[in-house]
Formats: sequence, structure tokens, C-alpha cells
Amino acid sequence: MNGYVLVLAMAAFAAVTGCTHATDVQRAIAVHNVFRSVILDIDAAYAPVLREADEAAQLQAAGDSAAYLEAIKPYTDGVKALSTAKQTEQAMHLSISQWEATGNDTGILRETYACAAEAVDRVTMALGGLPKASPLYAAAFAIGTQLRSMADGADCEVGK
Amino acid sequence: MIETIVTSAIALASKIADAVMRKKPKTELDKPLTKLESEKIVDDMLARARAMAEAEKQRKREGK
Repeated sequence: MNGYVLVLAMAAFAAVTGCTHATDVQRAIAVHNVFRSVILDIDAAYAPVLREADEAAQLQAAGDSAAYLEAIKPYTDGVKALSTAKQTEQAMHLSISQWEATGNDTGILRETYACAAEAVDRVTMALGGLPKASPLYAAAFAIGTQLRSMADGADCEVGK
Repeated sequence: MIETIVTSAIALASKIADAVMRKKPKTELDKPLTKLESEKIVDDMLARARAMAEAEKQRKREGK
């Protein structure tokens, strides 16, 4: 009798664990997809701003490469922040794929969330001075908060 | 005997878990991002800066 109870308990545990894992993976995928779409939205909004800045910088610099580089610097810095966010998205994609396939969370994912949250902070700082950025700023802020919560206290050690 | 029952029970539980999850609409992992439009524009900007610097050098050489 006790043996059957044990077997049933193990079966129930396995079923619950299986469901929990699948639910966790689904949540991670949903967060990844929102993060990805926020980056794409910011990219789409930033591209025309960059083109305008490029034209203005060319006129202002009048063939002087140093003046041109100085004029475009705030914008290239903004894109650098966006590129870092893109790299964390790629890392997050890889971690989730591996987790989904193997069922083993290597622990990298929490750090990836922390890195993504940091990258979002840097992007929102770069976006702060841009016109028409407020809806994007709100979206970036929301995903940043969610990523930080999923990082669950983990730190981003990449590049440190 | 117990080992067989446990193995079968775990396999069954796994199938139940799969069936439960299959009922929910699954969210697919979107493809990782590739080159962003902003990155392409910045690449062009930096190439322009290099061309400007090259033209400056050329002008200096011709001005000798």
C-alpha cells in the first residue's frame, strides 16, 4: 500500500514539475519576445532621427571629419547602447532555447535578464533626450522592470 | 517490480504534463535579432567620417 502511495506521489511530483517547467519556459519566451519587440520599436523610431542627425552633421561639419564625428557622437553612443541590448537579446534567445530543449536551466538566464535590464537602462538614458520618445520610453521602462524582477537579484557580470 | 512501476508512472506523468501543456496555445520563441537599421546607419556614418578624413589627407598632400 505504502509503495503505491509513494509511486503516486512521485507521479504527481513529476507531472507538477513538468507543468511548472513548461510554464516557466513559456513565461521566459513571452518576456524575451516583448524585449525583442521593444528593441525593434526603438530601432524603428531611432532610424529617422539618425538620418536627420546625419544630414545636419554633414552640413555643419562641411567636410571636416573631426567636427562630423563630434556632431554624430551622441547618436552613435545611443546606437551602441541599442547594440548591447541586441546582444543580450541574442544571449537570452540562446539560453531559453537550450533550457527549452534540455530542461536544464544553467543559471545563465537570470544573469542574462540582469544584463538585459542594464542594457534597457542605458537605451532609455540615450532615448531620454529624443523627441517623440515617451511611448517608447514607457515600453522600455516596463520591460526593464520585468527583466529586473526575473533576474531575481542576479548581477550582470558580462564585460566587468 | 517497484522500479518498473516507478519508471512507467514517471513516463505517464510526463505524458500527462505534455498533454496539459499542449492544450494551452504555445508562445513561440521569436528569432534572434540580426543587424538593426540604426546599426546600418551608424556604419554608413562612420564610413563617411573615414572618407572625409581621407579627403582631408588628400587635400593636405595636394596643398604641399
